[in-house]
Amino acid sequence: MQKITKIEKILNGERKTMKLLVCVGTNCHLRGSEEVIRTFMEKISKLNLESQIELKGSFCMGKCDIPGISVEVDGEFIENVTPQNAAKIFEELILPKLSGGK
Amino acid sequence: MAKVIYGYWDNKKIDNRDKFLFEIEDDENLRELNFFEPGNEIKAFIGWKGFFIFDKKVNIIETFTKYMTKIASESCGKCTPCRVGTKILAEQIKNLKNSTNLKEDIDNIKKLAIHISQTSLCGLGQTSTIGLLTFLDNFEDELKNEVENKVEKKSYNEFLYMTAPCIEACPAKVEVPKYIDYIRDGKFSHSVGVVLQKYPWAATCGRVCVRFCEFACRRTVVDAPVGIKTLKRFVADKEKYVTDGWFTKDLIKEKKPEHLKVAIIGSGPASISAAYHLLLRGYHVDIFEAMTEPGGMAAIGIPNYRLPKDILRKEISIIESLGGNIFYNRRLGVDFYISDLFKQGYKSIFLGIGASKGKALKVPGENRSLKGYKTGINFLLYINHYYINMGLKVELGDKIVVVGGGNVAMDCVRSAIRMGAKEVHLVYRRTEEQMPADREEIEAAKEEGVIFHFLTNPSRIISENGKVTGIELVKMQLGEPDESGRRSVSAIEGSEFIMSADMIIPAIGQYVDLSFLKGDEGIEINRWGLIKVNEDTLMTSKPGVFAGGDAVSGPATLIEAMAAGIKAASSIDDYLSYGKVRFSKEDKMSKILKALRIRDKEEIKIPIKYTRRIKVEELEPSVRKKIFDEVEKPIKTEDAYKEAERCLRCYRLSMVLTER
Repeated sequence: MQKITKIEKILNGERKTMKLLVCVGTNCHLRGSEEVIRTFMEKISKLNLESQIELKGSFCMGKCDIPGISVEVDGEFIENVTPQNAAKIFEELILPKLSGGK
Repeated sequence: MAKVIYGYWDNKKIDNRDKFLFEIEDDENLRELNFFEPGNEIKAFIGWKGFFIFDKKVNIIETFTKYMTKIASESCGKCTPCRVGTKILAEQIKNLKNSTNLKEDIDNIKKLAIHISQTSLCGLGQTSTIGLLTFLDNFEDELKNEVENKVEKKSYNEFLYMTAPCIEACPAKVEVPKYIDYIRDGKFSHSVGVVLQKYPWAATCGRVCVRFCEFACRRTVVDAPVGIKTLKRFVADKEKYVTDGWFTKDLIKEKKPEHLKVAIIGSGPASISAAYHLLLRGYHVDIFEAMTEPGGMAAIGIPNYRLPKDILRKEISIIESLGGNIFYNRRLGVDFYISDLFKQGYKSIFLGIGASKGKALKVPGENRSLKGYKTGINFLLYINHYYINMGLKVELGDKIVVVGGGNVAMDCVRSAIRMGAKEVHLVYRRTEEQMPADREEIEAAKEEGVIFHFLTNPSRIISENGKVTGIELVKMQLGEPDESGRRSVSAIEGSEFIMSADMIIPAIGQYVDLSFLKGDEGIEINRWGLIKVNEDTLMTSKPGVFAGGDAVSGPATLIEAMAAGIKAASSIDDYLSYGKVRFSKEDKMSKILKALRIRDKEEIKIPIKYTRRIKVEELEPSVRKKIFDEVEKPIKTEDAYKEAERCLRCYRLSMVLTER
């Protein structure tokens, strides 16, 4: 319940646009970047954020040695993303950035 | 020698009986029939369209008796003419030897033979007497001569081989009519068992195979080919819980000594199929995979909606259930070398490393790890996967430079435009007329705004902090034509110029990643950058090291790779058990049948009811865009029965007589 209000707060507040990059290089692809992207896409369309979040793929970000799928939000790197925690990461780490806060 | 003394094939009579041997012309098309194994002459051949006799001493009665007895034993027994008729016929031919009334006996045989061929239900019976009939119709006197004059005849060694056009079309030689038969009989687990004899990926192949078998299907002559692939997927899916239980270590009948270890490099289709057959033969198998996931090109190159990843992973896990090991993150040439494997006690090595490496430009400043540098094939793979299948754009930058003049290069420039790149340049070292790409592609690319630079070649890649910033290009000039008629090109000195770029895509061909060869001498590479092997054994120039799949053939299909794995496994088994690869009678027979064009679709003489080929339902396009599940829906059991009924069972028996 708390989570929902948090998301609502973000959505109702002032919003910026952001660029969300997910690595689709060979290693991340095999680790499941497709599923992560699918999760992000679903979330974005559910919350009608298409105009705010520009979701794009990226070729190898050169961080193959770091575990998880490489994800970058406006140039900021997020570690340890997996298909399993993608939804959580989107809500807790990516969405708050839209309102500029944490 | 392929000097046909007499014979009859495909409505053509050959009669050279009154000629001397040296007068008989060699038939180029029958070159495969010279020798069986080297030095072992073929004396006669009987097949589904007639027969050839290469030696006057061939014992006719004995030959046809052997052939007919084999037919009788292969008959499935569902129709009387084939089940009973062929037995009687075999007996009657055998008795000709002591015949008192030859003319009447031959007439009886003819009548029965015609009857069998006209009333049998499937291809086996229908073609079983063609050889005999063409002989009796055209060369009856030879038979009379043999019986009446009691000429001394020799009996030779025979080899009989039963197959069908679809089996011969399949690189892995899966017994298609057999597994369709089992579906028709409702024995689904038997059916999938037939497939599993050849490779462990029944469900995978049932989804993504290119279906050489269906292209060879004779049903095409009547209406449309049997849905062979769909049926395979049906049984593989239906029986998945049953087959799960089959793959345990108990399946391995005879364990080979523990020290006979085999190392397999890569976990793509060729490697998995080789591992499977080696494990079933009782060897200890370790697979080394460079990536963190198994499957090779099957995992990377095939989108999820065609081949769900969990299905592929499950079918790869069969290797582990059989006791094989897969080690990940172990790259040959970086983490270990071939010589290390031999030192660790591996007795034989299979290289299933694929041909996934795009060719580099070989210019200063080039580095594969540069950001903004991607070879054409890799670029397309991901663009296809993420853009075309998922609608996700890939970040490329504003200015893209593609190098190359083939269709891959065209795909790259046109994809880059669709990705939203502002400026897309194509660099090709020859002229527009010499571009190997399709004309339509070039025109379309031009219309879409691609900027072409002909007679231009890259000479240096410029980068900053590990990121591509530009490319140095040089103008080229055409020289004199060489022997092949193609005019050479050379750089014009001092014509270098620099173009800024965010991304450089070389699309100039694919090859095998040869970095593994470091420190390993003895494995030869051919001029196309592929591993050189003996075609019959798949052994490389280094004893004990075998290779197969794309690494040998260049980019090809899943089923061809799996077929290479089967062959490699049998070669490795021979090598470890006998020290050399033995001659394969089946392979030779396949070559002969290919030369005799078994895959040609002959006219079907018996009436066949038209039936509609099964239509596989797909998800609605509107749904498809949103979810990434499999697009093709499974078929219903009753539809599978109906489809299986359509198979004509085009079995054919072929027989060779050889010296030894």
